Amino acid sequence: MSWKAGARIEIGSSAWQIEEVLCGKDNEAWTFRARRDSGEIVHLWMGSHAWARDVQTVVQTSEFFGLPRVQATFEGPDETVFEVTAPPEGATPLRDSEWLKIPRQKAVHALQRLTSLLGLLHEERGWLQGVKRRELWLDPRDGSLFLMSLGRIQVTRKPAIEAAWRDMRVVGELAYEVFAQEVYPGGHQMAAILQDKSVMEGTPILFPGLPQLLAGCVSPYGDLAYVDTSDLSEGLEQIRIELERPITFVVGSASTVGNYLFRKNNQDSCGHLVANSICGSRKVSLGFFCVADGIGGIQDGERASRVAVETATQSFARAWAHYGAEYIEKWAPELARAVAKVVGQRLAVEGELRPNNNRGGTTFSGMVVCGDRLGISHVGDSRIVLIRRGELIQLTHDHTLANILIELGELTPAEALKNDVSQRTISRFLSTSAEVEYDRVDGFGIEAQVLGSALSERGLKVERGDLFILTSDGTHGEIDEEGIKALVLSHRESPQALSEALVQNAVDRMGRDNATALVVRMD
Amino acid sequence: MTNPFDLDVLRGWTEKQDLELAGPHRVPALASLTYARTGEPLKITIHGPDVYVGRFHPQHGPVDLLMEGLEDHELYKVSAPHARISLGDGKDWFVRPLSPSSFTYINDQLLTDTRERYPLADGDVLRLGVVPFDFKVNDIAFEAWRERQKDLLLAVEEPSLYLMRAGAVCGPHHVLNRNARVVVGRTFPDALATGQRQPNWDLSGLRDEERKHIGLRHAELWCEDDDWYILPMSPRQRTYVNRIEVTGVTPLMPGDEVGLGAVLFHFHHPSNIRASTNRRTVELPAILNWREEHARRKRAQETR
Repeated sequence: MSWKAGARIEIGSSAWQIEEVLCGKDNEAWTFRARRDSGEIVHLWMGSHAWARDVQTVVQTSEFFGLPRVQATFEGPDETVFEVTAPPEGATPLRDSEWLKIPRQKAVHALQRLTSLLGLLHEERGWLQGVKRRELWLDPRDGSLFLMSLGRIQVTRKPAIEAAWRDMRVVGELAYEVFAQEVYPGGHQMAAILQDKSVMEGTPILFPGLPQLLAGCVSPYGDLAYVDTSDLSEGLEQIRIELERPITFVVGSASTVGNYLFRKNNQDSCGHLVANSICGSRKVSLGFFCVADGIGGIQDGERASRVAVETATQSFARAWAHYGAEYIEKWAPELARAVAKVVGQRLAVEGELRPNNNRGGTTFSGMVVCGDRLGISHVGDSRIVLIRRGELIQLTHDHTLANILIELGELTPAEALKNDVSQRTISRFLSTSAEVEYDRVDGFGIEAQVLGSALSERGLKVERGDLFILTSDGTHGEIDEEGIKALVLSHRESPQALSEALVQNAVDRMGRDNATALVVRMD
Repeated sequence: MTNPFDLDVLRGWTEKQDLELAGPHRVPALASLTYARTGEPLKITIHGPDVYVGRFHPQHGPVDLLMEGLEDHELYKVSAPHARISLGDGKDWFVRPLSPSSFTYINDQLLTDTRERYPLADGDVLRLGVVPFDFKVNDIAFEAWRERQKDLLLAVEEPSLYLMRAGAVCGPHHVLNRNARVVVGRTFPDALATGQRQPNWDLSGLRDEERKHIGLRHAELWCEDDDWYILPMSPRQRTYVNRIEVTGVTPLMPGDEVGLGAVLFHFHHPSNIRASTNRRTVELPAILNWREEHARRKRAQETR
């Protein structure tokens, strides 16, 4: 029986009028957009009872990303009708011209998700007998693909040897089109191209990993053919890795004793450790950055900040050696805080075992970056600020008496700016007389909340072009927000020059403290 | 959530953490203070009939109820110690404000006299500085509470040091050796202290805010002719006996309260069960009043 738009389907008391035939004709089952008598637009699958049984076996037990959900089942004398969820808003039937416009990374991601959908269906022993293009819908905004029809699904324990290949080949074709920016030439021609290196040379398929994928999908036979969707996933994953361009760091730092008559030495310290690797095409960049501003007796403050920076970089390196980058990327904020806790403990141990030259303490602001995740730890009044798209966002909350008094309502922020004593009195620091509690090591401060969804439990999502500035109070105490922005504009290209300019500003203004700045640009 | 990073790995040396030290209190709570704030409320349980509440300051000695988990500005208005909460006759509760410079309120009524005990009833709002706590009395008879504490102490028939929390022994203890000196402290990295022996009772497993003020080799205890002595050893962290700081060899009496940093311990001696189970009322040394100090100096200047 053939169905056309305008026809009416009736099962018992339910009835629909077909608005559009989406798939059908050569399939066992049909997919329609239809209108219920109540006026509501719904999507329908319709086919034989045998077909419907197979659909139910495969999809009714669970939900799959990229496949409609069955919402209601109607059994007629000859046929079964499923009302299924509509395709996501914005998605349209896949058109070649639209698909070619999808950026490679998004396209590979979409194909990975489609592949895992196929894998799940195969796991349920559902074989699609080939995925047709008109069964796929595309959301052009993010490249997502949706399988809108299961027109030929068959459940079988023993699929034909080509069954997996039939379903997977469309992935290879779509991958080809995105990278070559042209329509797939057909299996025979593709096989011919892949068999001859000299022919392949002139074709647009030379992207690393792509010829391997095409060879896996072009035919069900031979050594290179993909046996199942996990092979296909691996091939796509390799292409995804090749496409990745991780964020790297350009770092500059400067620190000076300054020119104040009563400052005889520099009690500030800063440090960073950057590790880049490419292993199995996987590119990882990992960095740790910190500043510490020593407090206390002349030698003791200097020693405390030095011990802090040394201990912090060492413990970060230990974490890297033990846990690896992938783990750190997942837990960047926790690592940043754990490092500060360890630093605090180390200072307290020094104070206890060598009490005579460890009377001071230090502020500590540290930053862990791994992949695109960033976490910070912060104790004291040093600062970490982010310059993103010209805006300055302070990531740390100063632990000063001024901020306590503001919170208590005893000072207004404007008064606090003039109140030198409460500005300079810090309410938390890493002390050599007792280790800091974990709870008192801060992460992102209240000031960072303006970042909104970029900030989550997993830390800050870093963007290319982000500029992070870590400073001791001797530096940021001598310059306001506008001043920092102006220096950033004039030293955009060189973090080293920017850090030097920030420190020089404190020197020029004859600041009363040591000045330190560490600048990291995400490239 | 437990930390996904093992601090031992980050440190490069291993801390011996006895999990029992951070375990739950084994004596039931008599009352509680709850601070309903945005997010998770802060609940502080009172396990003893006579407790000092506030912050820890080394000069003023340990308190029973350590105020923790507050914001900086809230803590800023809490004194060390701030107030004393006690169960008068086994039935009625009282509060005495201890600090002339920071404030205590019951139901928004400022308590002005630091020598006065004010009645504190179930359901009252007790405000310490800027933090309002709901005071709740638990449904447990004082006698029943006393029995539980006794059971805990009588389980050990040797002289021992019991960890105290919130005004009562809470379970963990260390049996003292009559024939060898016992060092109480925390694990330290051997590489930084070559030749020094790790402590016999390792308190690294205490909660963060408690272990903070425990020295690595904090104090030594030993027995001589059936008398017990304690010697403070830490160059930084202080030792107190009955809340008064001690700096040299000090004899210990059964039932004494030993303070190591911010943590109190009960010296349990089976020879005197009554001293062990009836808690002695410990009076703090005179309240430190900075205004008095200021006046004294002024007088001294004037006479000069």
